[in-house]
Formats: sequence, structure tokens, C-alpha cells
Amino acid sequence: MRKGSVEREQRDFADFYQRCRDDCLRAVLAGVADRALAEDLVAEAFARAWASWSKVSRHPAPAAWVVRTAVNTRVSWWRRHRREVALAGHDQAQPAEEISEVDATLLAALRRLPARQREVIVLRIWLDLDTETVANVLGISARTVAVHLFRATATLRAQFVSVAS
Amino acid sequence: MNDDEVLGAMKLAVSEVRMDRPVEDIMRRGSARRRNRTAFGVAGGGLAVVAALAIALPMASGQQPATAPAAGAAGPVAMVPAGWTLDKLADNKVKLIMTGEQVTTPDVLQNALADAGIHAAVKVGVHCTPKAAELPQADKVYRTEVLPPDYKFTFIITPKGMPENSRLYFSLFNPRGGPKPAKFDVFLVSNDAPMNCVPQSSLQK
Repeated sequence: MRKGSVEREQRDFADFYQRCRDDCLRAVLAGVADRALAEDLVAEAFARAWASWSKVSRHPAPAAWVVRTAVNTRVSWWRRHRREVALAGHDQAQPAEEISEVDATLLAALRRLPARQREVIVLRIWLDLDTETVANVLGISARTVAVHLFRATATLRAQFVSVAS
Repeated sequence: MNDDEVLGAMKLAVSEVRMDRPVEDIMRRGSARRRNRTAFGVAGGGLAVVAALAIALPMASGQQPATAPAAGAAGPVAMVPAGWTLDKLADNKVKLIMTGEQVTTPDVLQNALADAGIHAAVKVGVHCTPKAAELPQADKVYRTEVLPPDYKFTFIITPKGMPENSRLYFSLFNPRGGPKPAKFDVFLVSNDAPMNCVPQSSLQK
């Protein structure tokens, strides 16, 4: 690969990382309550994205690829590299300091949703993907995406009201 | 409260969260993965990168690939699913996953295993069993797993546990006669152990 092409790839990836890193971390926090672990997982997923950038860059939603890879990654190189033990039952550990108590309650409600509904919320709302792209990423129909979103919103709305009161 | 307000509140809940890891760290780690994958012919991570592609890819580092395609080195190389992935685990074990695709180049798998420290023979289309007993260290050298969600046949191998002058003898075959292997078998045997190999066509019932 020529030098110019490599530099262009590096620029493209760096730009992608700068644009999407916060959203990806927020999306992963929807399923992983441990802030440090979530960041490790997202970092590992971005590293994998860079390792396969020629393919990931052509993905219909590279940010969604990163989020799904992060969620599916069980072993954290970053954690091992820091000689830390991978957490078991990490859902209870190290909440994000930037998140208020009320917001943490909202996130907890989100985490209690069925996995598919949570994925739809994350991709559709937090990554701001359109319904067709979400359907494509998840391998389901656009109609099913809409149904999941409707059910998730209804569940959250009920819980949010009860929390607020 | 309507749906938009609920979803807006949900989005707002994490709006202060920031990922502050430098992109240089990410790219350094990704580049290392890329190098490792090329060296071991690994297909891992979120994408199923075929081992043949990893071997054929020109490497930025200028190193020679661990294995070379048998033909077409000067021109375009046809890419086919390798039928397996190989990954070195943190504890120095090696994970070999059979993807279920046809294995057309068993020698490439054999070479990749050798690069990972595993002396092996790989036979396709036959079921080979040792005429004598398997070596007693077998239990410590390999184990097999078939795990959800994709139920692929996986070998976890401990190269350090292999006795001197021994090898793992793999058989990839399909008793129903198709090109894609449906069954996998392995034995730890000495290098000169006589094997009894039965063609898969003879295994059909």
C-alpha cells in the first residue's frame, strides 16, 4: 500500500474516531454499567475497526459496528494490559461519574429492556441511525424496528413516570 | 410525557459522557492486531477475515508471510473462505475454530499451526485414527468445544504440553460425502505412529 493511501486511511479513521467515540461509549453504557469497562470495550472495538478498516469503513454504519463489537467483546486486552482482572458481574461496579442519580435510574431502566429493544434504542436514538440502517445492521425488517422502538418507549415511559412521581 | 420526551431524556442522560482515550493508542493497538493476524493467518474480531486473504495481503511491515500461497504469487490470488480461524490466546494456548467451510488447502492450516508452535498433520476427506493408542498426554494437549451461539467446532490446544516427536493428527471429513467437512477428529500421536485412514466415501451408510 502506498504512503499516500496509508495516510488517507489514517486520517479517515482518526476523523471517524473523533466523530463517533463519545456516541459509541454512551451506546455501550446502555448495556455495561461499569464506566471503565465500557471504555475498555469501546477502545478495543475501535482498535479492531482500525485493524479491519478497509472493510469496516464500507460498513453501512461503522459506529454501529463498533458498538456491537464492543458489546460482544468479552476479554479486554486493555484490562489485561494494565494487569487488571476482567470483572465478573461488572454491572454493579464503577458507575459513570458524569451521570446523575436520576439519569442513572433512567439508564438502569434501559438496561432492563429486552436486548433487541435496547439495541434499537441505542442505534436509532443514540447513534441517530435511520430505521432502514438499523434494520440492516440488526438483520431485521424496518417494521420490526418500529415495533421494538414502540414497545421500548412504552416501557420506559411507564417507568419514567413512576420514577418522577 | 410523550415518546419524544422520554427518548430525549434518555439521550440527555449520557450527554456528559466523553471518551478521552487518544486515537494514537487505539491505532497502535489496531495495528498490532493487524500484524498478529497477518503473522498467524488469523481471522478474528467482528469481521470474518479469511486466512487466505491475510496471507495474501501485502504487509506494511515488509515481513514475509508465515505461509505463502502455492501459486499465483506474482498475480492476483483467488480468495476463498479458509474454513478455519486460528487465534493465540493470552495463556499461550491456541484456539482453532472450524467454520464449516470447505478446507481446500490443508497445508496452509498445517503451516499456520506450525507457526503457532503446533506440529500437526491435517487430512481432508478421510478419517484417520491411530493403529495403536493415542499418547497419554492428549488430555493436557487439547480439548474440544462446540459452543453457542454458532456451535462451531473448536479445538483449544496447549502447544507446550506436546511431548517431543509428537504431532496432532487432524481429520476433516463428511460422512455424507459433501465437500464441506461435517466432522472433525484429532489424535495426539508420535511422529512415526502408523495411522489408519478411511476415505469419507467409505464412511457413508
